[in-house]
Amino acid sequence: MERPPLIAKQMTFGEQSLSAIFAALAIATAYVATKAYTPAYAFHSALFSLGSIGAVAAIFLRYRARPAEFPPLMIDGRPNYNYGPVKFTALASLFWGIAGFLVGLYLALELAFPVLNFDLPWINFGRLRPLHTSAVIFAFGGNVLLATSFYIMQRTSRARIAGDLAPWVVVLGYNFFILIAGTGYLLGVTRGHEYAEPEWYAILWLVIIWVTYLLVYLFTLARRAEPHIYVANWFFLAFIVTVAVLVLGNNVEIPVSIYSPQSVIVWAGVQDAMIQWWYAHNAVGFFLTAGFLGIMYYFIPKRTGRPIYSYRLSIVHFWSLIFLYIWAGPHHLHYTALPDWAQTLGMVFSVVLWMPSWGGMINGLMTLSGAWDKLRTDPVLRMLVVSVAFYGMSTFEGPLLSVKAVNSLSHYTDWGIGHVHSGSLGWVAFVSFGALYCLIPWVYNRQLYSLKLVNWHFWISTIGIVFYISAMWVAGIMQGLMWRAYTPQGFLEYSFVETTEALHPEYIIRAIGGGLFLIGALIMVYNIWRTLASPAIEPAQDLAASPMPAE
Amino acid sequence: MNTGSVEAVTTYEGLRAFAGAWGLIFFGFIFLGVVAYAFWPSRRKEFEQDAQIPLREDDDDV
Amino acid sequence: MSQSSQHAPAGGGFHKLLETNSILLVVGILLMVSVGGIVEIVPLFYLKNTIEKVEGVRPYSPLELAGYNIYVREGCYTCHSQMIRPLRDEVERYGHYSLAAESMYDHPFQWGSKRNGPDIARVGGKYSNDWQRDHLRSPRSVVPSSIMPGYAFLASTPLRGEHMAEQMRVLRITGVPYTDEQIESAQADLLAQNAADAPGAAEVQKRYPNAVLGDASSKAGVTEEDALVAYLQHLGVSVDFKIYDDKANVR
Repeated sequence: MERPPLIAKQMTFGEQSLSAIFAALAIATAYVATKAYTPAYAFHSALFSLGSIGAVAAIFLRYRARPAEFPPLMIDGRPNYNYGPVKFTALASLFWGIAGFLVGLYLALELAFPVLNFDLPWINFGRLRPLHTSAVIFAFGGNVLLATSFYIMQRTSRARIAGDLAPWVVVLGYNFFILIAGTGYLLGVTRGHEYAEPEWYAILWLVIIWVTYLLVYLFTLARRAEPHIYVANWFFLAFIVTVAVLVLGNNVEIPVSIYSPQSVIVWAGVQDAMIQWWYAHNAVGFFLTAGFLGIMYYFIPKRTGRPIYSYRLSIVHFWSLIFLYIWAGPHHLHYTALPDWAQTLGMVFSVVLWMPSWGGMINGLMTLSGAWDKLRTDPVLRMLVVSVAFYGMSTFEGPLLSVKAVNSLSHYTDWGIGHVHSGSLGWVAFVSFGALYCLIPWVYNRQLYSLKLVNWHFWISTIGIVFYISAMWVAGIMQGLMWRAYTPQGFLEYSFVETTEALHPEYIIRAIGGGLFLIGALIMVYNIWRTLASPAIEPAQDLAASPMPAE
Repeated sequence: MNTGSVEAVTTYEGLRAFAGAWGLIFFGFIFLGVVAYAFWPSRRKEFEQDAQIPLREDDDDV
Repeated sequence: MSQSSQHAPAGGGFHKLLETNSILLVVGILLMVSVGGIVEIVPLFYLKNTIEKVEGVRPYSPLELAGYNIYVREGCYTCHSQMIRPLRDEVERYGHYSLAAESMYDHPFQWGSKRNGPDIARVGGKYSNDWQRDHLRSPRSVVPSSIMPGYAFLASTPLRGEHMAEQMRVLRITGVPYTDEQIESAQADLLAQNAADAPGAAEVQKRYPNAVLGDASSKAGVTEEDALVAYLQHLGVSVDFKIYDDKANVR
């Protein structure tokens, strides 16, 4: 890529081959669209075709606009970081976040007021629920992970991201996957596996994107100026590699036809259940935990201006966490037809998992020792730190819920919903917000518009989370107890629908909590919008240099 | 149960007993190795430097 | 390569390699995350007692399979479990606890994880076809405080059943024992099971014992609701628990 100056401008091999591939894809998918078994699949094939045409056009337009030479890897002895893909995914995560929270709120209202289903196929609870989970986990969370990982890998390697088109293939391709998956749910295209609903063709596409992501990561690390690979990168690598393993493992399926959106998974019943929850639990472990721990290990030191409390603990934390997490899946299948030995393994490892989880929490929190006063003045740091506290709380609750005796009460109830939301709203979303409040001003070279608004965001959303999870605790424990309540004569005391009626007030409180959380996120969007609308700051006062942007 | 399943169960039981004992010891030692490596006193300084990586990025020096 | 200090003790050099070589790091991660999955998943495929030996579990008839597809499509599993746990209250509320064998032909499994509505692993035969139709069209007309969405649109949507044989063929590759005869007559069976006045109903019940026949008229055509009801009526009825021996399948 280091070309001598004044070289004649010509298309690179990457530009040529990628346009050829997309051109072929455009034709192939257009053909499939004409033969599709269902309108939904025809629509998706057409989207693929249009997307491919768009990709070819984008490659050509970009080629025409770019200079003959590629951007240098270094400028004046300093790395020439490529923030384009970081900026795109950071803003995309805000968009998807709002969309995902909004759908979540609507679902909460549907449970409280079922008339809101309007008896329409596209917005009934069963179709919207995967849209919500995918939008918040894979669209919001995924874009946050792409943005932060592309930033952290460059900065801690002190090297420009590898590839010219490849990073854009990753970020645009991933968001196209989200589009296919999300519209698919509304149109009834689903594999029926929780958190793994996208059908075979979407997964095929995702696998290509994901392999590219891993390669970009590895090639960037290979360029690094720093011999040691910083710990945040280990967590991102574990996230990328393991999610690849999980997706491949849980998607061994045969399409009914190339013209059909439907596929048949090769295993059934109990084996399918075990593999699905191995996948789903480790989607929590590696997508929502390992990746976001990578964020924690970079942004908390960066924001406090202090190194991580114990780098040595982080090594132990890393290896024990990834080894233990993978075993915990069967705790989702307690007392089911899964053999007891597997349930027992799942329970034991889930309880042991508490230790590395809290090791990580301690490492994050103790980084502030000696600097606790910053929590009073910097609401962004407070968001990051409170997220780690929520991480500690939900990783204590998780092992508790995986004990069979507790699980017999909590399973199938809203306690589980409360648990995942304390983890996802409290930990994942808060650490994401904190990271985005740092990252976006840094990459755009702006001052954050208002710390006061961050403070409002923090408190409104925190109160929302408290409403949410306490309502779900009450709802879950109450329903669990009502299911197993007996009259003195030895009959079941409540019919099922009586237990549903009892949940109505809690469902309303939950919706209020979710609404508050959404309001907080909207405040964030406003704040970021004002930040981007403000003039760039002088390069001499590069914000990345000071952990505490002045207001 | 036919004989095939009895055999499978026996193989499984054998493997399980083996894994339960030796697997535990094996991974126990790996864990101790990781801990010993991470907390070996002579490495303190090295790790303290590694921990500084995010804080001493190039433009921090400006 | 290794930048390690001179005082590094034996064994320390290895992790140093991991920290400085991204490929080795990836390999190390792969090794660590493989163990748990292999130990928990692989035995389920070769331990014969993972799935109980029972009489009566059969593959879905074409109409039931079409209903199952709709069940999956509408995300019914997000609110209804099909997995009765062996706890006193569940067994009294829903019936005999679920066996692994009962979902051995479910690609994908539909055990669920949350009960916004009751478990329906054994809902088959509990209500009439008419009740099921009323309930699907307007849940609150039957259960006033139900929070289930209405699925009236299923009754007005013609079933696209022309690809059932294709799906059955793929299912056979994955181990569902459909016979050639069953696959060839998929289309005819689908129609025959649905309409009480269609010929071939006896054939369907011969190929698919216990198949609940529909009560539509063959002139009306098959709707998605017909298929879903046929599926629901088959849930949990395959195994005769009067003759099932719990003790023989202790795992």
